[in-house]
Amino acid sequence: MKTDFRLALSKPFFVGLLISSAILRLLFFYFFLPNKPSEFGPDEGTYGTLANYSE
Amino acid sequence: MKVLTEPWQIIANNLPVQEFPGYGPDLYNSARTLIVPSSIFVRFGVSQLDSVRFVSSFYGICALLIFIMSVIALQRRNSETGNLKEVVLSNKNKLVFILYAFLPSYFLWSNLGLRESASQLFLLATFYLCVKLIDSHGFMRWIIIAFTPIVLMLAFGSRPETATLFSICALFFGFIIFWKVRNYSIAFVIFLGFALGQVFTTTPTVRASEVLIAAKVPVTETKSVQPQIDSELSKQCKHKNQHLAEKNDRFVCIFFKQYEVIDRNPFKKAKSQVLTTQILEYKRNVNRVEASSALPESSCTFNFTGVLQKFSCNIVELPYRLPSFLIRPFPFIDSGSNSQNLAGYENILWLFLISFGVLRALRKAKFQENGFIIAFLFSFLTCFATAAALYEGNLGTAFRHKSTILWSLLLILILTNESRVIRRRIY
Repeated sequence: MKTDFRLALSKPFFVGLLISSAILRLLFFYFFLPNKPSEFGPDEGTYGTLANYSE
Repeated sequence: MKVLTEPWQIIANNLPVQEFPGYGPDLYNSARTLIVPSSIFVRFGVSQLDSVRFVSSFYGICALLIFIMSVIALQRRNSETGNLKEVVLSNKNKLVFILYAFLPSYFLWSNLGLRESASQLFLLATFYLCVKLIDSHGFMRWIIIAFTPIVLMLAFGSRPETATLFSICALFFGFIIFWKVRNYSIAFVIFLGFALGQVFTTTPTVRASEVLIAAKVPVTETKSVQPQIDSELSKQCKHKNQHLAEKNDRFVCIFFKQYEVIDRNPFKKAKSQVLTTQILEYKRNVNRVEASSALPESSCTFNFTGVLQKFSCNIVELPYRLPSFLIRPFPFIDSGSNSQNLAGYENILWLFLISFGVLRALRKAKFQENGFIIAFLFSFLTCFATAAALYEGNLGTAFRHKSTILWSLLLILILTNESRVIRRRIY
């Protein structure tokens, strides 16, 4: 597993893919996603509310 | 009997899940891999929506890393010595990796606070660990054997139905490995993961009762702010509104609702999951309620009874429902809202990927070095697509749930893209 991880991070293509995915996600998170549950996935509001609950 | 809502739990997480409106505790238990980490962020003051989005997005990046590591692990299996110095990356494979990272719909689902990325991450991780288990030896083998059931259990905590289908396929292939080479490890870890998954997601039957507790004055008992409770002082409560004092703080005794577990049966849970196959039409109709893109109701008119009736109807309707699940909404057929049109354009790409993946799996799996693994991925893809096609009642949810097969479809494309067709492994 360590070798797979090392090989994954030794390839600039994979590192670029992971970093660009992280940056795009951050951009989405801060600039594009609405402050209320999105119409594309209204269930996220339910899961968000559930995070206030406990077994 | 375990008391669920201990005072510290109430303070930490605010509300008992039994009182969650509408869905009750069932949804909590079948999504806890997403919800429990999110609740930690909520406790630190992050908004509930941001919390689930952050956790979902983090799972999405981890899934990408595990996807890359899975391809590397499979390439290492194929290399002559097993010591791969560098990953082979053709342009076609690069395109597949980019698709997994940035396919618009999956990228969106994994940015929103939904269960898609969690389910995909833990299924992919289970697949990866099983691949590693095949070739591992010694101490590392035992580490993987211990770790894989836990990862599969977490997959159950993100979407139990998908994890059940994955487990059934993996168990079947695990038994083939056992039959061929007497290696029981894959079947064992999957069975253990399935059992742990049932325990992890079982919703207990509870009994509500009211107890006297000592709450700090002033008592703030709203939906979002729970009273501050002193569990030691609560033992001194004799009646309601009794006043108590502890150092400089004043407390008053109030009635508080608590829940006791009276039954928690994972076998019932496993049985109900299997029996879901008999109520697919009911589930489909529930999914249709208030959906703008609802699929038509069943028009099956067979005169059989019981299971035979349901089975026949499912078989007859599959040729219509399967393409609907896989490639609809489709441009010019389902034009409507902007989001439906966008989904339609992406489905052109899905149509190409699915046709190409299925054709190549059928043509090449038999001769490819990783034929056994391709067969497993193909069986999971087929089982999921068939079950989901009969389960989904509207195009929107169907389009979202389709992303569950993305990783297996893209892995098939990468594995069948390898030009080297050398000796075929048994597994």
